[in-house]
Amino acid sequence: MANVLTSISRTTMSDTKSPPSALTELIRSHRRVSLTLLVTLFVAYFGFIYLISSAPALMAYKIVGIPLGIHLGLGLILLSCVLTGIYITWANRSYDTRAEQLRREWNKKGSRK
Amino acid sequence: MTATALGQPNFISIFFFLLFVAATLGITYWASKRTKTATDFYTAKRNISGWQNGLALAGDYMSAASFLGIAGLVSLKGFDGLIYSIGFLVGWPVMMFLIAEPLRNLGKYTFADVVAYRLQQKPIRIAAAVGSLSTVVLYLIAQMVGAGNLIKMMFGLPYELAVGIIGAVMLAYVLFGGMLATTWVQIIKAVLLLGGATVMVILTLSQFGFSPAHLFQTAAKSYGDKVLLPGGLVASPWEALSLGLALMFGTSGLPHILMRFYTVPSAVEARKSVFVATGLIGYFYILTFFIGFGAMTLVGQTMIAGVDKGGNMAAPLLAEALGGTAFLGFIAAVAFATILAVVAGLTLAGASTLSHDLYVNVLRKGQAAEAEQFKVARLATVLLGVLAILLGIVFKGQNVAFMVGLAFSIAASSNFPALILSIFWKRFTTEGAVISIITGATTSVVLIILSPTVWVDVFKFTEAPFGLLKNPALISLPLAFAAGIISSLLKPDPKTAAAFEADKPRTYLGLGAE
Repeated sequence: MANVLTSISRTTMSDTKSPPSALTELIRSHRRVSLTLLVTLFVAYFGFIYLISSAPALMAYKIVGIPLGIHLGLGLILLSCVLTGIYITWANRSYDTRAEQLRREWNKKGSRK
Repeated sequence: MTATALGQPNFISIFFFLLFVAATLGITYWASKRTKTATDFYTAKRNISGWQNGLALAGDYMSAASFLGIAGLVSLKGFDGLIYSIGFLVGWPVMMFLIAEPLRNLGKYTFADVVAYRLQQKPIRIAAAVGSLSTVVLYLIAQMVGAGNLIKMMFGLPYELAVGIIGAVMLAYVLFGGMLATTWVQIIKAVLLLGGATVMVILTLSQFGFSPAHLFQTAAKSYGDKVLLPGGLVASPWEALSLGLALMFGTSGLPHILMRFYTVPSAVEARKSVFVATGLIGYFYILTFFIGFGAMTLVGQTMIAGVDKGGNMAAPLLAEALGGTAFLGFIAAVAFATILAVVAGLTLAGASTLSHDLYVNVLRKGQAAEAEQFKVARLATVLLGVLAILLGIVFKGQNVAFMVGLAFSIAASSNFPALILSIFWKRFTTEGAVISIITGATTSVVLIILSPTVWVDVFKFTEAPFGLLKNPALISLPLAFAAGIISSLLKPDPKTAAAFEADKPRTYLGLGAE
């Protein structure tokens, strides 16, 4: 079943020669969003590691009685959740709508054949 | 507090544990009636919802090592424990951004399905099986040895018996109930663990007027400000960077985690499950941080280190200090359940590699009938279950602390690069994938053996030939990427590059996904 489906999608693909630009657009915006979020996480995480190893004195600075290092560490845990939240919100609102439209067009094309 | 009921047979913990085993075996019986084919066995009919899978992912990932180990590390070292927790968490957003959806769309049972999707099956399956099995077996050894020690410490059971019980119960789940039973064991365990840890933190904070600042200040008063500040763990930034890389990208290469994405019906549900899992795991690590400080202040470091030098008993001791023998019994049973759930997930992942990747796709060239696949899958499960028990006994008393680090390093530098390149890079070739996987795995293994982690701590030599890093990911991960990219560019394969374009509707839209 899977192989049949794959071969169908492969042949329809080569029939149309150039891939639909809407799909390329979608892939591009997906890459933009996921790479932006990935880089944000990367900078925050390794920035945190760099800070705690190079500026321990700064980490001792207390805010509401709790050292900055603990704030940053717990904040990083929160940030991880927030970034996945941003991704899923974007995917649900923007990606899925466009993907659904492409799927519909795709299936129409498939059934005409 | 001066005495503890730890280490003696505790009727309450035995009661809770038997209750858990009885309930989960009941679920296994129910699941066994719904597990009739290989797809049922590996994926629970792809019928698990995003929420359920999120809970199960959390249950698969939050091991006893991270519950007892990190709480213990915090109780003895303070702040440094938090650095570990964060590392174990940041892999999850990475999985969300890069892996979860294409993995679900392209694969069937294992992550090797994705790597092999447009490449040549046989060489890829064999290479991916090396990466996958070494990750699973290392993780399994660490879990089994940890389990034997913990149960001996908590219940006073002999080590071999503890390992045998864990192995037998886990084998029953996986063998008869497949992925469906494993999923529900992981969900129940996640709820129990999160619930128990939440109660511990609330009880702890109630002794400090619900002021975290008061808790931290009390800790600092007894043990000095240093417990609130970064200490020896990040003495070398390179070391921290290397460990960070292994944890950040290794999570996306853990076969037992990746396998769970095939239990949901679609990429949308896969995405939802990562979001749920990230939230739950993040919450859990915040709890362990407070549990660690609770144990430090309410139990005391002398007592914790007196029971176990590594601090592994900090959380059970805190439970006893807060809620007496009854709460200790409950938390001990939860720790037992935690081990069972993680080991079951690992065994299922290892069995799927043996049967689906190696037997069906290499030996039988993808031509095995459904009934044969199902039979081989269960045979592989028995094999891995027995292997887990044997390895647990063989490695008794050995220092296995490095094995989880090594498993993450192999996952990050062998499984992860091959997955990423096959999903995102058009010109990736079969040879590139094989060379990348082998480079990542061998560099990880060789460097860790030559590093102080094994050379000094395990072999007891005085000086390690490779003293630079305890975790090799900083070298092995870029090397695996470079090896994969260079060998693909040296010998391009236009056919697989064309297939990459043709596969995009499946990768990004889920068209034709199973």
